[in-house]
Amino acid sequence: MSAAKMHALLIANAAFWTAIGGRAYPHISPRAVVPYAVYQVIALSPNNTLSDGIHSRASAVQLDIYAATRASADQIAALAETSLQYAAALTGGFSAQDADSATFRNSSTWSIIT
Amino acid sequence: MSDKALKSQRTQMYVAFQTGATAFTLITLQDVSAIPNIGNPTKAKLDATDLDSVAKEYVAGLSDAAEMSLSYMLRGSVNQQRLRDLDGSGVISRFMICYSENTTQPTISPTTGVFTAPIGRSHSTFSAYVSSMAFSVAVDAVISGTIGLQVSGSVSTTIVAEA
Repeated sequence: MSAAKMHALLIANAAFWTAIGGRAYPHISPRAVVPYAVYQVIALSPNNTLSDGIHSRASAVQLDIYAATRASADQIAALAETSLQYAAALTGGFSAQDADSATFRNSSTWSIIT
Repeated sequence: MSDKALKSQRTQMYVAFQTGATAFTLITLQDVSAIPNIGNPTKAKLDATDLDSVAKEYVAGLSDAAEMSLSYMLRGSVNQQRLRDLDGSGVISRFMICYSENTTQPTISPTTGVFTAPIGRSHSTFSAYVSSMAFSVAVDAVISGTIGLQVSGSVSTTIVAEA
C-alpha cells in the first residue's frame, strides 16, 4: 500500500521521472542501465484500534537512487524530495558507493502514512 | 491459560446519545485505541480517630470515580462529531463498554437511554459528561487525541463467568 503510494508519487514527479528514465522498481532492479531507483517497505507500524481494525499504517519506505556519479545520484534524489516532502516525512538517509555494481547510491528513508 | 484471557481487541464503547427531550439513539465510539482507568474509584479517607484510639483510625468515604481519558484517532465520522457536540455541553450521558466475548451490540430504550447489555458479553456501565476532547497534530503522525470523560456516580462492571 505504501510502496504503491511511493511509486505513484515518483511517477507524478515529472522532473524526477524524466531524470530517472522511468526506471523505478520495487524491491530489486534489473541493474541494467543507470540511473534507476529502487524502493521497498522496511518497517511498518500500524495504528490499531480496539474495535475498528487498523486505522492507518505508518510505513518506513527506503528509496535508493543509483547513478554513475555521486553528484548525479544526489541530484536525482533532490528531485524526488521536491514532491515526497509534502506527502511523506524524511526520516534518514546516506550516500554510498556500491562496489559490486560500481555505482553511487543515494539512500533515503521516508515515513508514509496510508 | 491464554485462551481464557479476555482480550481487549473488539472492545466497543457505546453512548446513549440524546437527540430530544425523550429521544435517544445508540452510537458507537470509533477509532478508540485505549480506555484506561475503567472504574478504579478512589474513596475519601475519613479520619475517625478519637481519644480511645491507639493509632489513627479511618472509615471509607464516598467513592470518587476517576476521569477516563480515552485515546482516539481523528476521523470525520458522524459518531465522532456527535461526541464533539457533547464536549462542553455538560450533558451527562450513559455509556457502556462491552468487552470481547462477542460483538453483539447492547440496546437502549429510545425514550430513556437506559442500556440493556448483550447476552454473554462482559460490560461496564456508567454516566459521564465529556470534560475534554482535544487532539494533537505532529510531523509524521496521524492526528490523534484524548477524550476526557468525567464519571458521575459509580462504574458498574459485570464480567461474564467462564463457561
